[in-house]
Amino acid sequence: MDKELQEIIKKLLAEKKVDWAIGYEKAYDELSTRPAFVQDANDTARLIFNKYCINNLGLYLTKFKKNKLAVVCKGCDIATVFELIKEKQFSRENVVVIGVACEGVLDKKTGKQLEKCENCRVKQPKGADFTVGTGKDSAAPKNFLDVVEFEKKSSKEKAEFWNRQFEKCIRCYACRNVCPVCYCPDCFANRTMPEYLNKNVDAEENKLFHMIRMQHVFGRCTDCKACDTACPVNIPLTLLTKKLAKDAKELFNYESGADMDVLPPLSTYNEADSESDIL
Amino acid sequence: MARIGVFVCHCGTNISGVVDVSRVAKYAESLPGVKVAVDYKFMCSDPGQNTIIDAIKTHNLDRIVVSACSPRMHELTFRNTLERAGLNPYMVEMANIREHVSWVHSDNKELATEKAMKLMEMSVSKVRRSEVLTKMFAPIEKRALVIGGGIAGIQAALDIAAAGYKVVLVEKESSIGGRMAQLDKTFPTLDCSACILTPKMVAVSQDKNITLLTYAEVTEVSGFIGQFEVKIKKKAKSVNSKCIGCGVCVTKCPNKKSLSDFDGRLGPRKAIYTLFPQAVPNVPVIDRETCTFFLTGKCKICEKVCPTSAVDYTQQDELITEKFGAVVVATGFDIYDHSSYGEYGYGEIKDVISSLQFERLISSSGPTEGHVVRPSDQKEVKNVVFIQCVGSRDESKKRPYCSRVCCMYTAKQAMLLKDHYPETQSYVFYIDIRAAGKNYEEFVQRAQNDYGVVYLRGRVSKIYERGNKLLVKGADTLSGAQVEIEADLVVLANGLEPRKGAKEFSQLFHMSSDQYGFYNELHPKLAPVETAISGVFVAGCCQSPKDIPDTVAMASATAAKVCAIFAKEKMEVEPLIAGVNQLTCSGCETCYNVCPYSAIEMKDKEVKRGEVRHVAEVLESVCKGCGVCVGACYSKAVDLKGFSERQILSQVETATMPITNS
Amino acid sequence: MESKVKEINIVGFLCNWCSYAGADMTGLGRNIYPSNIKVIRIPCTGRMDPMMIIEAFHNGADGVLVSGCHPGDCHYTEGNFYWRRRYPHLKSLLEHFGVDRRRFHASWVSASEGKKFAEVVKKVYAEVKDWKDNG
Repeated sequence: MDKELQEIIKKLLAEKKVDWAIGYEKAYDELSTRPAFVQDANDTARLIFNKYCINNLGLYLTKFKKNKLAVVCKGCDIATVFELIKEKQFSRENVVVIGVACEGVLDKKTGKQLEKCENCRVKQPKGADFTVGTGKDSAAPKNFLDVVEFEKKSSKEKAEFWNRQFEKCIRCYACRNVCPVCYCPDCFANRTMPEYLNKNVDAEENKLFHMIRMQHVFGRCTDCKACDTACPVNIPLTLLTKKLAKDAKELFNYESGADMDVLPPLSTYNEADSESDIL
Repeated sequence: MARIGVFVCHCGTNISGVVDVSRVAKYAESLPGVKVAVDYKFMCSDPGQNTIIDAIKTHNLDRIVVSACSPRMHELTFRNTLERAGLNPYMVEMANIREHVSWVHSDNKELATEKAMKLMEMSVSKVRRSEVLTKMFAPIEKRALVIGGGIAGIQAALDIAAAGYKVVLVEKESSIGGRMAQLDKTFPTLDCSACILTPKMVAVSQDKNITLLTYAEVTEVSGFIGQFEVKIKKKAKSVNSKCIGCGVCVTKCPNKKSLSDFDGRLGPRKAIYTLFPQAVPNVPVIDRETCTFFLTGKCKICEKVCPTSAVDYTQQDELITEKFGAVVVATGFDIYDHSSYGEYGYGEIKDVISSLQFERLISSSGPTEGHVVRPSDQKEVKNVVFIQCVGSRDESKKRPYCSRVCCMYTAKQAMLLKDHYPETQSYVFYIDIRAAGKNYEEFVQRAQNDYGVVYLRGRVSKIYERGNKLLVKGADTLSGAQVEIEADLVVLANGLEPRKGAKEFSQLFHMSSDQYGFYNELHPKLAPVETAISGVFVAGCCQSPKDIPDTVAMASATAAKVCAIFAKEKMEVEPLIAGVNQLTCSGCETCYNVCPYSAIEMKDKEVKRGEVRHVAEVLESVCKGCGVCVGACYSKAVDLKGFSERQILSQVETATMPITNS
Repeated sequence: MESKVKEINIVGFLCNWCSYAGADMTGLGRNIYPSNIKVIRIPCTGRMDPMMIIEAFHNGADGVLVSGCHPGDCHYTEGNFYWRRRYPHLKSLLEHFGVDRRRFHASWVSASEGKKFAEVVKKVYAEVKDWKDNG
């Protein structure tokens, strides 16, 4: 499989179809992988794909806007690429998507498969320009059981839960920095005119940051779990991103990155949209 | 550091009767940046405004807050005050402590005062973040569109044209004239409606400044004051401009299957027809839904008899797009359909007719040539009962308003009847007589005293058909007696309501209408012909029921407003529009997708030296300042002048802070 | 424990053309309503930046009301349609973070619905008070 991947990229680079290829390479130990940026057709041998390739490489598309790129994507990462194309961060012609069949990725710390890989319907990548390997999709739809369970709590319990979580937050912004759709040139969190956010690190201010970030990525977040994985203090950000996915689906029948022709839910409207709950 | 002045208005006792205004002023003085705070009886008065101007000069203020009434009322007043004081007019914020405080929280003066203090403080926070804005100018298309060819539209068009401006008058029927053309005589002078209307109609057709588009409808509107772009559908008349109006085609047309709406459906109408003999333009149209040729492919008699070959079956509907600087809406009224009244026979008793049908019956150009006969058997009448307030002042029919003209036209109709047939007797059932107008009360008195019309104060409970007569049962509440009258004819005083489709029409312009569908004026007293849409004015009964003199006066008022716009070289445009900080723009095109006016342009632009980025730019002359882009932008790159993120956030922060040291 | 009237703080965002004018109409009609609401005028509900609502709750607002023109009546044609999408999403997200549903409301109030505005404020006040008193 790695060989096939390397050959495809070698050819793309050699024929100057792309300037850069973004894939995975082995990192400092057997269980670690890291993004690899390849410019030379003779340098493709280091590219690999395995169950520890957890990163969503879609993140790097916005950092290489001026180039033609090849990017290695798991089925789920393709949603990110499509979402970014929809948001004009990149044009479809400038990116070659190399889909890799995936059986699910593992968290090296726990050795367990990521929760998002259960019921995965894109083990076989969809919409890629090249596909390496074959995967077997789950027939069951994505489940939101943990979100549903959390929703049953009272608002007071929810508030207390998040206050405890955000007391841990050190505002390192890792969640934002690894988020592929957090590509704003100047994040609201850095602004001073106006100062949307106090720069103090305390539970309330931390929560404000996360609330606004979640609002900003609604209908755009592909629930890729990059933020959740990156968080050094284990705030369960998945519980938030999954909520966004659930709401987008339930309120607007929208799935981020699924359909290139449908605008994100807050960029459009329907005259027949629901009126319920409006006084 | 900002230098802010705070001016608290008593509004007589409107505010000070509830709010402790001196406490509000005192609190203002404690706020950072506030150099002076005073309260005064009438801030909007000349001395009030001079107080502001003096304070600006004395304390070297650079911005002010006026705590008074709604900014919708006086924001412009105080912007002008600032201009006179040499400040940028946009450096004023108003705290609405009248409509939003004293008038609605009079139950608790302490809480009202605290809220007034808070609203003032929020305005201080906002104005501290106000920026100097410069007015912009846009070109004006000096052509007016008048929609509706009734007396309102005719008057407006004539007045605008008289000032030397071009007018396009659009009428959906084949002739102008409107409701007034259907009337026989007018109150309180009893002069003939056609005699005073026809000369005006002819004047329209002869005025070089007026383009008359009959049998045409407005289908789409875009743009704004100075630059409206309007699509007009000219329906196929099937008769071209060679027509000389001889009327032979109408006479010879064998198809009389339709009823004439103009005649209240009391008489036939040919498939090729003019609305009425004095029609302007005097050009017939073919109703393709009833014309034998269009239905079966055979006939063509009109084509054969036409001496000028003006009949053209191949004509098509035509869609034209025109630009206008201002619009007068004069779309008129319909009468209330009385078929909802069970007590009056659900509209099924033939000899219970509407007031408009009566007008046609008694009109010498009507279907009976002026003979008032019963629709059921064409027999002449002796006893006639008039019933007022049908679809007016009736909560059960959701028509609680007074239609204003019915008392008068009922008296007129009873008098006309007596003039034509001295042996007749009329009875009028009424709730109250409303005859407020010059010579109106005298007119109704004349009907009673000189014409012997019997007025009965009370409602009719039922109309029965008995033999070939109508038995009208009602109450005379003045004598307390039950009354029964055997009548030959019953005439209902149908109330006025908006034209069918008025709501859909208003949405073309985004005008608002009231719960009945009448178009809302901008202010019930001080801006009665303006609408919330600048450059769009209303005249006549589409705004509310009114009589002919009021309609004509209103129409002339709209003309004056239109001319005032056209008299300017350029249009002043509010600078309260969106702007993009391209350094922080991520180029995601969200604003571009959501802008209702296509006022966002996406560009590849050098935003930093050597760095070309895909970014948004606001087209300043197109932006209307709604701020949808700001609400949608998650990069916080686009902002709205006058309602900026800094301003609104500061208001939010102040609103949620407790009042300090009070 | 029952909260004192003064302790309830509601921030209202009203669109200039319909609801703000409607609230002015409430004044013209002298319809009394709770003084707890502090109104911020915005041009259109489409201008409503969800961040401002999050900020309001963060700053300690007990309740937030956003009110605009009825669908089809928007002065800017479609601004309220965009708001009508932001609202249910934001309400759901805020609830997920623990901001009770009773604290955040939206309404349509036209320029002629002065009485309705008073009723809306009363309703919002009652909901917020219920949350504050009963959790």
